[in-house]
Amino acid sequence: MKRYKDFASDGGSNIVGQVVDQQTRLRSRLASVKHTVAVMSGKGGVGKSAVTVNLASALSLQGYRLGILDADINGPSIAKMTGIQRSAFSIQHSAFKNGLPPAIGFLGLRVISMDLFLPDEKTPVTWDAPTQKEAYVWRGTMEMTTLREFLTDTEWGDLDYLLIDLPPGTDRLPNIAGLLPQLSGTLILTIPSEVSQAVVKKSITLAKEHLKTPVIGLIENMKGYACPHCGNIGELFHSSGILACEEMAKNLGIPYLGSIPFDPRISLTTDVGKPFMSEFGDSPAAKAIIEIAEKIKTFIL
Amino acid sequence: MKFLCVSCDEQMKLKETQGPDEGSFTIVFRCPKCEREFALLTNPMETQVVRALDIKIGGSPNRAAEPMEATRTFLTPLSQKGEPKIPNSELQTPKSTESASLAGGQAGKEGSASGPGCPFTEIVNEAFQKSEQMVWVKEAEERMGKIPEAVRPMAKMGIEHYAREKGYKEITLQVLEEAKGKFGM
Repeated sequence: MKRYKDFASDGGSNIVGQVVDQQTRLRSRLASVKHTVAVMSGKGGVGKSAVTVNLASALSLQGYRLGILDADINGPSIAKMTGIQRSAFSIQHSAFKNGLPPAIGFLGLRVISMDLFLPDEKTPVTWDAPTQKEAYVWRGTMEMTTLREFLTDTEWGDLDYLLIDLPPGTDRLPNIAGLLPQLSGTLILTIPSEVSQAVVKKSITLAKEHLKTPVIGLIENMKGYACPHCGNIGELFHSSGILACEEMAKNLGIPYLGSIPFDPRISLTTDVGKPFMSEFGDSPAAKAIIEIAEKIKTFIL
Repeated sequence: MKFLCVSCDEQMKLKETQGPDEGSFTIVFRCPKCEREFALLTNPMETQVVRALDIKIGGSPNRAAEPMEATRTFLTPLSQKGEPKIPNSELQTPKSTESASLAGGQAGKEGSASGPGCPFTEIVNEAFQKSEQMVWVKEAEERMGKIPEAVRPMAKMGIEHYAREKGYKEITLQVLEEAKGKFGM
């Protein structure tokens, strides 16, 4: 009796051909994007999206053309953080045959986010299906398809950097790495806490050893509290007994890009969609972000 | 997924598709050698898996995909935002074998190894468009209950298609009788 491999075709659907077409369209779309960088963490709540926005702002202020893809399908925040009004973004399909123009945030940041597809802040992402039973089987696949469409169907135009803000955890990076073999590198964020460090090690191992994606380096966020009055840095997290992030990066064989002190004005500006990097460009946190941006450029170039 | 006719040791070819009926499809395959046929019936979850992959069973449609088509088609809140989902007319190629086979029970287009042409693509697209639901009166539904379960989805779709063509808004016993005559049942 013949086996699966004995038949060259799949019976008429040409699935392989369809996947190749998808990849071709993706490559074609991203041909005008010089560098793609994924930003990930292990734990949630380490300030990944805010750091992504501020790194993009820092580079944009230097004259680079930036795009941000909010890959957090179920918890999107980039649109709000970059000052984009949901109502100003239209997904009216008939007008855009070649792709959807990204929303434009402050400093000219080009943004695509699931948030722009939702009617208001309180509405969660839900998918139409004849049944929601056993939705766990297909929900992840649907989100992956959405990510691919975000990459492929957004008219990014010419970009120097496309930053991809991944949701917490390690599961989305393999998807992005699969879609983007040309990924320039991965930024990994942590905060100086034992729990965060324990989880972020998994992200680093996944990126470096399993996926073989270039790891640009580790960023330590919220390291200390920068006093807005005197600029002095005080300790924010209890640090005794935990390995310094710099040491951890060294042990794991990845670059340590630097630390960003906690500054309440970061959350203040991201909450109202104002650019922290231009509003408070002289703050210790902004200077730290600029330094990290310089290291990213050095790594990539 | 490939299907083998065990008797002939031949790959079975797609013959026709029927549906959707509440998210389920009936896909008929035929052995090119002995002409034996069988039907694959999908459950809603299986159908949704295919849609989530954004893969068209039967090959790529004869049109370019709309930007963000899958996302905009399946995201529930879009209708609340007032943005139109992609209308059926744009998702479907001109009247395909699907229509012919649904209306008249005629043989659909033969599946081909080379790609496009399978009406399943359009059917899958249509399945999640929340197209106008045909109302079945209780008596008609009871009558349908007497039909063997295996062929009920196909029969139901054929009757609904007939009713739509005739401009009926609901399926009554009279519509069933008319459809029966039309199909030669």
